[in-house]
Amino acid sequence: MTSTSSTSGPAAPGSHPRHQLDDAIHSPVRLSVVSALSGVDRAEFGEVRDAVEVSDSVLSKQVAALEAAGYVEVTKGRVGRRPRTWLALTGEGRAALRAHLAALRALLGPDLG
Amino acid sequence: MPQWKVSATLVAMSERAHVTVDQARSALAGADAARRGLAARGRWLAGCFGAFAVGSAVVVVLIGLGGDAGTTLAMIGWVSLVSVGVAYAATRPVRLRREGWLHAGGWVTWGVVYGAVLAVGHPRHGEVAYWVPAALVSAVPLAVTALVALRWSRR
Repeated sequence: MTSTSSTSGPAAPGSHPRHQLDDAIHSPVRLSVVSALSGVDRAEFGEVRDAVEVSDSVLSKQVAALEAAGYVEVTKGRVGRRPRTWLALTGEGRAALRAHLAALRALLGPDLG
Repeated sequence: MPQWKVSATLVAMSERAHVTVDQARSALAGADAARRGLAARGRWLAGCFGAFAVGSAVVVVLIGLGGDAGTTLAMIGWVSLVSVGVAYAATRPVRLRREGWLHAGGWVTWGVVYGAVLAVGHPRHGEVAYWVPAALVSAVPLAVTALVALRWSRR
């Protein structure tokens, strides 16, 4: 797993919420992929690609990064003769997403979040 | 470019430096849209359970009112329907979150209700006044599961 905080060290209590944002899912495509997978147990690569509206190559790169971070699990298999690649969010990825979204909500403040 | 992509890009640009309230709000909206978009592709499960609910009602009516031939037809039809449903489910590209729990809850509840309906109706074969309502009751667990699946695909 890679570092999950955008800070160089642990955030001090009361520090700005932006320090709690997660580098691994802060980029737009990765946040979309992780968010999309949070609503399902697993989904085929092509479905995620269509939902996030990116190309195969872009999604492959981002999924590889998320897999290296331990946030996404990639499973390859076959349905009949067709090869399939399934993507699923790990428990760690789910926790990271929750924390990231909480940080974003905290940025909105108590009245707006 | 979709709004969520634009907003997400803006958030990424502000990495480590400066995330504004608007950017945070847009990122949250984008995340929500992505989650809903993929979950909606799991709504096939609601249709599947809906078909099973209708099938269950037909099976119970055939068993209760169709005599031996009806029971045989019901069993053949049910096995066929379940086989087709399982094969269809195996090829679906999206599995809803906690779908396994939904299957377990739906089928266990249906099994209990179905068994009770047949047990209570055993001495009443041929009574329309019992078997038609009983058929509808047997379909309730699967119909409710279908509605839950539909709701989950929209949350």
